[in-house]
Amino acid sequence: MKKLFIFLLLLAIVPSLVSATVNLDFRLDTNKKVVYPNDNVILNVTIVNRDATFTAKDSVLTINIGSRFYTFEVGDIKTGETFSKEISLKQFLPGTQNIKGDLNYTGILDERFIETSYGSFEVLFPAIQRYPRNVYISDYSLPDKVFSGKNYDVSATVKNDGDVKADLILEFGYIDEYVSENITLNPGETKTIKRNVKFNNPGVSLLETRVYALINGDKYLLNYQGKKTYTQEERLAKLSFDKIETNQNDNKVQLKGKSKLKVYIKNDGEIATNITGILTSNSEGLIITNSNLFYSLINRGESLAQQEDNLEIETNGKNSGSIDLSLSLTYMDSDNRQIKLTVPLNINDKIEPCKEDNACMDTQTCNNGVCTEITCEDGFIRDRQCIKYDCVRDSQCPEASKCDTNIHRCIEQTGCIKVLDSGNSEDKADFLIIGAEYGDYTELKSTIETLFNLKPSKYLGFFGVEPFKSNKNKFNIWMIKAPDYNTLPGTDCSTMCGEAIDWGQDANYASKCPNADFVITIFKDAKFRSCAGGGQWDSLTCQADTDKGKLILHESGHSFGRLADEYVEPSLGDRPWGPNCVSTQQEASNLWGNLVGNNGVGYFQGCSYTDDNFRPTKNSLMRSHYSATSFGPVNEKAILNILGGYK
Amino acid sequence: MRIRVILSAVFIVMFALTLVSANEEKSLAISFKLGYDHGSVTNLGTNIIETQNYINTPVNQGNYSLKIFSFLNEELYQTYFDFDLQILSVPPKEWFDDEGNQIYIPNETGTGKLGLEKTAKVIFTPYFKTAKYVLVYKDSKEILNINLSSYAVCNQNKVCDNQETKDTCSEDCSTIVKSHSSSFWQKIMNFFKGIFGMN
Repeated sequence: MKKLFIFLLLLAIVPSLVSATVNLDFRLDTNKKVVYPNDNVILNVTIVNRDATFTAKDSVLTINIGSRFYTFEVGDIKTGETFSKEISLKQFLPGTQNIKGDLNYTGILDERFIETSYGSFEVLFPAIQRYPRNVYISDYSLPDKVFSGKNYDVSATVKNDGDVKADLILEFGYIDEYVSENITLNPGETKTIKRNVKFNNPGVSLLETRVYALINGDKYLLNYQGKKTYTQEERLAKLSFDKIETNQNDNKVQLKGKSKLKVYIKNDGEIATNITGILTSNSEGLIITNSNLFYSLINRGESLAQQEDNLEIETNGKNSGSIDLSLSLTYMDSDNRQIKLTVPLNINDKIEPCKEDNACMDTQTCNNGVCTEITCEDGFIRDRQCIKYDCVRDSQCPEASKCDTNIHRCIEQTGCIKVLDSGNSEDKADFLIIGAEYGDYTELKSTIETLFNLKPSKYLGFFGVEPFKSNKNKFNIWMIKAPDYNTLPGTDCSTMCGEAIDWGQDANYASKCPNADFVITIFKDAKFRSCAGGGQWDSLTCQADTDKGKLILHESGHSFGRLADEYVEPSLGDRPWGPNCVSTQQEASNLWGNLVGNNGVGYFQGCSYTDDNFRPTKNSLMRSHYSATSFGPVNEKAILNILGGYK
Repeated sequence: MRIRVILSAVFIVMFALTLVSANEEKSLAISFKLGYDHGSVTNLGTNIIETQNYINTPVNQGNYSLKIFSFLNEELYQTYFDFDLQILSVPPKEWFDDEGNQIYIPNETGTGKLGLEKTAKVIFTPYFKTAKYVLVYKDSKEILNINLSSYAVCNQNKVCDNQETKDTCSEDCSTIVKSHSSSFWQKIMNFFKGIFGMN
């Protein structure tokens, strides 16, 4: 029973959560469907709350007819309640009048929603001979912002494009409150009328200019233009200089030296305001620092100092008595305003001895009556204490690092150099080549350029083979020399790399190259059987010149292309994996069956590392890089998939 | 005339330098060198390093994860990783003929030595000025804790201390004003008020 109740409760709640609107029936109907321009039309608005549970709160109704609108506060419409309103509409232009009603209300989860309803009626041209149909307002000027009781210049240009002489009335104002002027326009004539008008309607209103035809004492609306305005009482902030406070006696500033200053502004106006200001001086020998001031909301009748406490005046001893500073303020009350105030400053006529530290600047202490600057090298002063930074200059950092002056910590410098720059690392495959046993960047760079076919070479290298050849623009290549990279002694070209390399050294070099995605370590002299895993370790001296670049390709097939070896070496076990080596022909068919017959693709036995497994081509760079010159279609496709992640 | 040419050249060089420097957006990263030895993970060194334009985006797969935490124990960053222990060796040239036929196959059979038991890995993360420590996990189990507090410039203790300034640690060195808006829970409360007719 309890479960059923919870189920039913959820059933009731969940749909409401999905749609947090209130179920309202909102209709607009007019009492007439066809009218003449001067007829009255009654618009009936009906809103019924059919929701079983929720109230439509804080509802506001807006009716739009053409560019005209009417707004009404409706308030809360509770469950089962009906709201009705009759709105009298008048003065229409001939044609179809579309009505759109928007009910804006607060729904279930405190979100605002709009329910919309539509209606329409037809307005006929009046059956009057020589009715001036082609008179319109071609240009007009009305204020954007209106303060009630204030006068504004308005204008409208009326054009008679018809062939009938027109007696007209031009109006400026609201629907019910306006000023008007009678004019006559001959066919083809244009007149511009200017008036100075006072508006008084508070709140949101439609401010219009309208032109009517005056026929037999009746007026017929011909054209109107208008804009939505918010009319309000103009309320002003009234700002004045109030007082100065300094950290010196009698709120003066020192004759010679720095003084702290607070400038108080008073607001005697009708509205609170935020203020920004800048304090300036024309006096020689007086320096103002941190002169940009900000005052948070100054309420009516309140006096406030600027928020910042770092305004300083430095005097050179040549000024004394009273001098005037200039304070330019920018603020907003009913409008954006600027004002310039005079700030009188009193300077001591003699050097006053200090009694305590607080009489001095924050960077000074009072020693024997004299404010003395606190010495603080390589740091900053807080609470009159010198706080030393970890570092402020590169020479304070260990070798190969420098001082970052934002965080005052020694940071490591990037140690790698770009050899191939194809663009932003974010989009590219970044290879870092660690040159083990290379002491010279010229030699290392030359070797890399050969191995990667970045310069003309008679040997096949990385960018000489597809799919790398066509996607060279997706690679950045970096290099770092590693002259001290250790290998273990007594090795030869058959020594497995795991027994020849002192592992972990790559990390020391790779950590200097944050952009690198793949690391290739090439060894100039050390002899071992090259290998790959997360990175690759290539003994160049164990390869003939013809094979060095192809060695990089074979190992990159592992580390970049995630390809398996395609040869047999039973001592390494049976390890089919990757897109190019599987244990059954059925699996092989699933992986590359669609490519069989294409450029030598088939099912060949022998890979990773037994004869039982199947590979896709007879030979490839993943089998014998000595004789192969390509990866083969299946491996190329797998590498292309990975290259698709780069731009 | 010559002076004009020299001035133009200087201008062009200056302009080009401006373009170059504008293109190289520098930021800071932390590099973690992690050592692996027979299953144990150790911290081989940590550094702040300057990067240009790029820092590796976090990886979302791997048996290991690295999380950076602030002084307030908030998780600032997480990435996954693995140690690459499998090694694939290149075959000797003598094993093949010129057609790619494998003409020699070593006799031995077995599981072979393909894996490493000792290696190291570098992980780069963005630099966080409030980073206090890093935890490294293996399969959700914490295995390493690295202290980063010496790199932090803001210890989030609400006191402007040590080398903190308004620039490096505004949360400790200036007043924080938090704005309050209608919360999710307030909305839920309103919802239930609606259900029980308390509107």
